[in-house]
Amino acid sequence: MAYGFKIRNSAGSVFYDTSTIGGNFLGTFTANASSNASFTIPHANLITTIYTQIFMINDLPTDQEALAHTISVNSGTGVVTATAQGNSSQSQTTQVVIFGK
Amino acid sequence: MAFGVQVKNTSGDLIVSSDIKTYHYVGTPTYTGVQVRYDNYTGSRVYRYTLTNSETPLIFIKPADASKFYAVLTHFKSGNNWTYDVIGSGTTDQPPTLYAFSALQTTSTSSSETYGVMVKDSSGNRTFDSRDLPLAVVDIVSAIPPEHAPDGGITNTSNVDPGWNECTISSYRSAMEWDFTSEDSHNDYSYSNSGHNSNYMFAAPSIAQAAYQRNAYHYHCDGCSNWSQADQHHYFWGNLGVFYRQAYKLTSTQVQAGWCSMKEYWYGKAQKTSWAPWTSECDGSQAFGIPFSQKSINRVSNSVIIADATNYV
Repeated sequence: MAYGFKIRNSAGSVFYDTSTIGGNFLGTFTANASSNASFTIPHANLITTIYTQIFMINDLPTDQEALAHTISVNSGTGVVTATAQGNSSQSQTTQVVIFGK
Repeated sequence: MAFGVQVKNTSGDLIVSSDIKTYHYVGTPTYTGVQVRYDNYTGSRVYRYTLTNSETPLIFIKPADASKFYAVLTHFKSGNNWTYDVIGSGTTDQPPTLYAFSALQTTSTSSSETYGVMVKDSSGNRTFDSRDLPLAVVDIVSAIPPEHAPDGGITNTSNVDPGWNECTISSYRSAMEWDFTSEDSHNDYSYSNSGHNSNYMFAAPSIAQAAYQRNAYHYHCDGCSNWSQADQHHYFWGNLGVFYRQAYKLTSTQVQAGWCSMKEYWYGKAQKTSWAPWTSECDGSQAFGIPFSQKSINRVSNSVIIADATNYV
């Protein structure tokens, strides 16, 4: 490594350097059942790629057709939008986690 | 950026910033036991874990068996207390180890180390602290499971005739079987694996669900064509369904996005009637109860984050 950044742990082993992909936390938001929601990422201009993960909270998934929101990302504006799916008995509260590199 | 710190990796991606917090290790959720065991077809286990954390954690799974599919099934939240149900394929108990990460929460660290790298934002809150073990990601892939979960493909829902087996409801089932196993139904994605070891872990929730069913019907009449014999009508109605959740297998070269069978639904009713005032019937269950069938839902590409747990053991 002729240049760059390297962090070692107390045992002397490198665990973070300029070959690492950083785990940048960009935000999280809750989209309530049957409602759309959006979130604007602060400092989105610093991020080259935005990723999302979604999951349902407190859901009992084997006894109903439970639909999560669909997610769209506008990487130009840094706006993440969650759109509710299905009817009121199908739509579930969805948690959206946003990260990037 | 008028002030502060930005460090980028060799691909130009941000790895340290005074503006954006980095995920840091917050602990290993406590394993509390098996919630559900399902032993038919590929089978599965639902393992439960608990964690207390004020932020929404990102949960990584270090597989207990590299040949099994795993995924975080459900997140229960009550205040700062999180309960996670994690599904794993197979018919033996093999709970994985979980690792939790979240954005730095306070201005202080639990570490007594007095050296390392710490970056703060303009409010004095930490965004990066090497003493609290920042998340170092190996790779991120976008993965989606196949449309149909059963290895036998989408089930044929035309009625099959299981014959007449009196009230022995279980005897009707064999004619309704299908290849409901799911270990071969997966889409495969390669990842940067040059440093792969047995401590590799991944973060990817299970959001997609699938359900498929088979149907059965039988009818015959004893005596209907014989004027000297009383007519006896024999009926059977049956449904067999299997419910799946999305799960992932992390091999040394691939992320495999597939399915875990986790529950089945069964309904069977046999009935015998005659012109005389009597009817006999027997039921295998009260109701079929499958919430939907012949499709997968919430099937979208999800980001699978891969990291090396060695740094956090």
